[in-house]
Amino acid sequence: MEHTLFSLRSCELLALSTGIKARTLQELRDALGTVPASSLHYHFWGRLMRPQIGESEYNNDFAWWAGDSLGEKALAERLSVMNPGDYASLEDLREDMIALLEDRMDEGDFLSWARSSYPFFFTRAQMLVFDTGVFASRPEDLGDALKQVPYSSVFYHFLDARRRTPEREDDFCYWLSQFGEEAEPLRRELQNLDPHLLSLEELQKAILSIVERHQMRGGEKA
Amino acid sequence: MTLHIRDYENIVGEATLRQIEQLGSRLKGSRVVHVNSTKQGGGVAEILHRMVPLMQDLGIETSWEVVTGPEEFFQATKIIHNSLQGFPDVLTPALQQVYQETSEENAARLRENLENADFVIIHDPQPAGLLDLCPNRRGKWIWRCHIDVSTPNRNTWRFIRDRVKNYDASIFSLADFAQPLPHPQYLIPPSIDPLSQKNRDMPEDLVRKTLVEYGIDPERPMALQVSRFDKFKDPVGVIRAFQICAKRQDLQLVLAGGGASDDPEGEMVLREVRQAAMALEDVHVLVLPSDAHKVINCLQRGASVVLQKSLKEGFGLTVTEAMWKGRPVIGGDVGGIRLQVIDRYNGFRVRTPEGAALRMRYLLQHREKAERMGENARAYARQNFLITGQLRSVLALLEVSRHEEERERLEVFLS
Repeated sequence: MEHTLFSLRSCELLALSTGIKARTLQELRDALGTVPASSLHYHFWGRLMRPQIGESEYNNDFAWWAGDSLGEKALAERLSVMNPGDYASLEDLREDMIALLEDRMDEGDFLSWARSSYPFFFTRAQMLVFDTGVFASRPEDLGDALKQVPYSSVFYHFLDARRRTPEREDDFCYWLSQFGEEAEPLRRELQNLDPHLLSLEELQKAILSIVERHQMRGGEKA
Repeated sequence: MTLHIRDYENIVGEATLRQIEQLGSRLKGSRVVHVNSTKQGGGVAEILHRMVPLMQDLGIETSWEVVTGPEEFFQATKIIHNSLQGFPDVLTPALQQVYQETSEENAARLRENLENADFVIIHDPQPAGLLDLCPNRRGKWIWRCHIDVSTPNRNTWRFIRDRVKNYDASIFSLADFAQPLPHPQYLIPPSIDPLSQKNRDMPEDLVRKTLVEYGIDPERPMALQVSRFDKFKDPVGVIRAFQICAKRQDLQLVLAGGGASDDPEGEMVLREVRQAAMALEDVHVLVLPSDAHKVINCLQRGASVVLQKSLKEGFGLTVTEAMWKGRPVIGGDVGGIRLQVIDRYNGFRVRTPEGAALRMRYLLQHREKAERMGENARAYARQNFLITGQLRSVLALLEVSRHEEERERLEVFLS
């Protein structure tokens, strides 16, 4: 049977202002109801394409703003633990976020007039997709291919793919499915890899480590 | 000197260059015209001196035009510049009239070139009025705003808004600067060129020789601020910070800068600076020509601490220059500096001369920590603020703007 090649892409995000900003928690809640879903994606996942400085205290831009600019440390923790992978869609995530903010606003110690030290600027992005010139024709090529591509390839194939494929599957798993039982254990392990809390560098290493482990097992069997 | 995109391979790597070349191949043969208000002095001219030849190297027919005008025009544009950055200067009806008339004169001279271009990139407010005066334009027009317009004087903003609202897109350096406009507003930080005379590596002996030439003792610590003599750069505040710090710390201060042909206010600020520095023998005020790139490079490399204590700043290119040379930067907590200087990671952000004095003293007393922050600064500049990154973003914007319908994803490669 003829298998399709996996042509690895890289990507770049071109950030755009939505023109919407929030200075208080109420304004953030109101704006969350109106901004495009692509803005949520940008503030949860797109931030990984921006430079990472050491260990970040919070895992998305909303949590960062709540903790750093509003001084709402407890709310920041609750926002930070939200994992977009746990939601069927960004709309579901949006709904839960709004509910979380409203719960906080209902609490007795909430200061409705508290202004942030700097506003939250809702941003979105357009993606440019590039050819890396790197291919994999068999599952065992995947490790070498991954070593040759930039981190943005992992963003495109592992994170962005879940927004553009019907099964919300990453591109690696989708491609591996054509190899049937042979690639199933690798595919299953990749499906279980949770990218939440990982930088792109760490995510690339984690994928590579899974792929290489399966290559070794394949070699032992042979 | 001819510039080639492949010259940057050792600095930014193959992946970035490959992306730029793929974008270049999509845009090959397109006619792009950049328009600003000066070829000498200031960050915009510096960027264009490198950006234009690199775009040409990719096969894009790129040219650079400059608007000209009488002294009153540049007085008007200086007022526009200041008041868009929040100062209470007033653009009188008479100056608005001068702006409009000068725009018409420039349009008459540039119209054919601009109307036939595939893309026109207008930099800052000075040439912004050209779009309405080119009614037969066929290309996409983009307004690139380099200044901090986060809290503009509303009357001045309305005047400029009327002139930029019909552009196809605009570019701001930060989300904070974007203003409501009826077209897409892209966010692209400006950059420096690591291979330019101002930023390339310099031999240690040339650095020392240059310091001596300008009366600076290379054996003693030196704090430096490089920028135009402009009130927004707060050079007098830097002298004040030096005075506080130098009470208990051996230190020299160098304020190095020049004028730009579109800045009529520079002379006045320079007089104030000289007045403030007059009785201070360790303060060196250097007025340098706009092409003194090697000297600036040597001063930045010879500095122990670099300051950019701006009160307003679109984006401090001199901040990135110092970062690229591995120097921690003490920057004003304003505008684009907030994106460049990450507090305690690659420098410090301060609000007062006192804050600047405290951080200078800290960096001079903690040399190992200062060195580590300097290393972070260089890595951060490499990742974020080099011309290759800016070029890629600008080309990407041109490519996406060719498509009438906005797409969330665009495949660039030719399949």
